[in-house]
Amino acid sequence: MKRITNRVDPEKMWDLLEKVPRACIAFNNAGTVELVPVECRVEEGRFWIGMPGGGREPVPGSGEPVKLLIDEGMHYFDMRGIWIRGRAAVSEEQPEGGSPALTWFQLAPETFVAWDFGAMREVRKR
Amino acid sequence: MRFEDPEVREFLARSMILRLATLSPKGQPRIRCLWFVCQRGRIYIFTANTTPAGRSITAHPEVALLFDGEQGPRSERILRMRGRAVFRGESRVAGRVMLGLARKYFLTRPGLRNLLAHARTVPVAVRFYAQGWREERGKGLKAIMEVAPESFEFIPRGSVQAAS
Repeated sequence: MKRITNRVDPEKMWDLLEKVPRACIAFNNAGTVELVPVECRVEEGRFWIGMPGGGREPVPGSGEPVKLLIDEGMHYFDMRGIWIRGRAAVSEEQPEGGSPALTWFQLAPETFVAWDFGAMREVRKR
Repeated sequence: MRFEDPEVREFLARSMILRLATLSPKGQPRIRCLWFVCQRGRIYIFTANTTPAGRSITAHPEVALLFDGEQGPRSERILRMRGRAVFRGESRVAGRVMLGLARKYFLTRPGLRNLLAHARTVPVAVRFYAQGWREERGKGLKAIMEVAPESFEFIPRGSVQAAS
């Protein structure tokens, strides 16, 4: 049995993580879904999320589940991206070159899912 | 800010991809990036009520969306919208939305160029959607999400994202 998929191995998306085109996170803020554009950096396997601090934007509670989305492209076969589910915790540190004006979180990733519409293909159904 | 504000309408007209955040029935955050059209003061998205995002909306209809204003000069702002989502299954709504999506994404010079560049993959993409439709047929499938805006706000891009 075969099926069509646009899913790809997340390993193939490392170029997106090295130079993040755009990123945002979603989290549950006491029953309200929050969606915030973020700065995202990946350094030596550590996932950094920079968000405006000082109450300008809601931020996730430390250890709360978040979903990070990184994507690019706007025409059908150019669209690709990755989402990462994990838990974010405020960090005292910040990534190299990271803006000190942002509050930096480190994301402990749990699940990665990547897609690429340009790589749509038939695969054997598992 | 409201949908009728010229700034909002202009920004939506320039935007190609939206990021949609929902809460799952268990309250877990979900995000997807999707195509959309604005029609009659609503945002319409081609995604089914049988997807994880669809099941989220059944439990939590409140959604948040981000728009990037990708077309034209790079904007220094990002638009965030909050609204309530429902699924529409009427064929007249689906037809209107699908036509709008085709005009916006395929019947343009860059859209056609993209299709032609991947002409060999187009039949695979068609089968991708046919497969989804076959799998969900007879399960009360509704393929159009309608989001009624409740609020809009502009977020300065510089505060969170370096220019790419």
